[in-house]
Amino acid sequence: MKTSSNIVVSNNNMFFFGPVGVSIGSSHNITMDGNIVAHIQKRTTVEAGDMFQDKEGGFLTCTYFSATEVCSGITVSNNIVAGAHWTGFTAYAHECGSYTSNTFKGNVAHSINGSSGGTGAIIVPDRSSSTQMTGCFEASYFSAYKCS
Amino acid sequence: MSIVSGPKQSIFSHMTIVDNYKGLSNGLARGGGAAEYGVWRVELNKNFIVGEAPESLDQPTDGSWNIGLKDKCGINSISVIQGAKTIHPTMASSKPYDKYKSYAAWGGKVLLDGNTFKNFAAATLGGKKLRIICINNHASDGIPEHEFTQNTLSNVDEGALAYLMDPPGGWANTNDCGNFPCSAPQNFLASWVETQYDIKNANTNFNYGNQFQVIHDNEGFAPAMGTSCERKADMNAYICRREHLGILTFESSDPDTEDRSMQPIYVRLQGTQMNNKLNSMMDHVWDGFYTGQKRLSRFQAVLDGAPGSVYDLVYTGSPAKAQKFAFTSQNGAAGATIRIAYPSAASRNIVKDGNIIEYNMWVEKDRQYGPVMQTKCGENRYMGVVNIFEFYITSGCELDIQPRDAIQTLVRMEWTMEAFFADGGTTTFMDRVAGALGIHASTIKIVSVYEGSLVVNYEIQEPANDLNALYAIQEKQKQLYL
Repeated sequence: MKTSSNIVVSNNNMFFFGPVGVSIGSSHNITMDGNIVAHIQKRTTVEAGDMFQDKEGGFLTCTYFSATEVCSGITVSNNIVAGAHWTGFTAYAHECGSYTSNTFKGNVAHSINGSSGGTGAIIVPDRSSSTQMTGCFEASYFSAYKCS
Repeated sequence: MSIVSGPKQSIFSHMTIVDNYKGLSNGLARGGGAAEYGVWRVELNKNFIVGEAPESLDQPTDGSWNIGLKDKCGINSISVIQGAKTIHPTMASSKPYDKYKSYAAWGGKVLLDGNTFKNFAAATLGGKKLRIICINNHASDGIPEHEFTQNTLSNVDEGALAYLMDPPGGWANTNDCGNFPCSAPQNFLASWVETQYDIKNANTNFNYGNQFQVIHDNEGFAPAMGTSCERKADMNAYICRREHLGILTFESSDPDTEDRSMQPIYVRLQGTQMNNKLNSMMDHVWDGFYTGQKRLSRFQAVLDGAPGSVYDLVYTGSPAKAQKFAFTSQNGAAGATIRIAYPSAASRNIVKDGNIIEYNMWVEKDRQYGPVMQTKCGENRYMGVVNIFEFYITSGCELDIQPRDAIQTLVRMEWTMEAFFADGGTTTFMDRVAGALGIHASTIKIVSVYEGSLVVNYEIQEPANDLNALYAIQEKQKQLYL
């Protein structure tokens, strides 16, 4: 979803998409809770030469469309990415020490494949928070297993 | 993982990390130039990290997820680098995410507090290495000391504590590190304090005590640590009980820092056979037909900062005129005297927090400045004739060596050394020169006094570093002497 607002997506199964399972971009007040994103595949139809790399991932939060896109009011909680390429999640962090935050909490990534190292999550500071962008950011209560 | 630019502190906490290829890691990026100086903290706190777990039933059966035949790590070493990583690279050369492709930044503090490491056998079920600590195999330039506090080891084999890779031989080429590999991995240091062992689990078959250090099997450094460090071949490491170990970082502050090489630089602890060979940072320029040949003259050396330790830095190229030094250690009491032999005499100052720290007092009986007694960070002296500049640096302290404009003068007098010192020695000499030139005696620094008949080597500085005032003094001195 792109440039969207005030949406709750909960308890859904997203299976066999590619190269990205779910992507949130430049959006506000989005809640993604309890979803399963599984078996996310590479595209096989790209013809851009051997050096080209596709943008891939299971569940991307405000990173896919631009490195500088800003989202606010994002909640990504209790989701599972089971099988994806490059990264399970890209996610916003929370303020340091703020463990009640649900910005990114209780999520699980597993079986993430990648070019010499698929990551469970790539976590970045919340671009709508000046504290995080210039000071401290923290990510917590995330689980990853069997990411290669 | 995270390698982003902007924040000064990045924390990953309360995570559960099980049976992954490279394990948990974190990082920060700081742009080059003035922006990169300071303390940047990267932390992994209260995480639960499991080495290997049985295969689960919910995984695809096509084998794409199977990492059983790879070496696995609990954590991958953490660095602070100059350039942030693109989150979604569109070029194969940028992958994997932990491929730095950037100089290590100056600052960086890595803290690991209250983590639990569980189920680490020394080998995976597939017969590969399974280790708590691995070195990022792209960390060519710099890895801050990894400071472990109050971490718990549960069901961990001794050999599973670490595998500290050697710098890949492939780094030794013109496009990367020159004719020998970059040396950051060989200067890795992980310091553990208040370590806890899960005594309910009998498989934790070792106990190093609550305080120990892990260093690389660097033949130029580790053997010189003596019996307090024990070699562990299967870890390619030494386990030490030397609480003053730390990391010395230093760099050229000259404008040609990327163009003029000082390496290799050898770090030698006096009284030992230590000969730690350092390389500068990797050339990260993307090469086309020509190589970039841009390499930042920044160096990192593991050091034992026990009281009384004195290290010689032996540059095989001319030392930079301006240099910056920092020493970090988990032990705040660590510190070392650093000695640099220069090819020629020149006026240099130690600057700490923007203030010049003067040489130690001149000692007439020794005919040179007083020795560095390791009393405070920045204590320093210059030893004339042999042209050795030495200073003391402590944990958490940053110092700059800065060249200073000065009039350098050598006076030969038909006089004996004994008569010179009997007549007031250097104090009287400085007073007379100051009186003749109409300047304050404190601006005159004796560099050396030696026989031949009697030679006094001195320099005159101008307190405000005003070049016009300095030229005026120089002209006046010429008129008086010639």
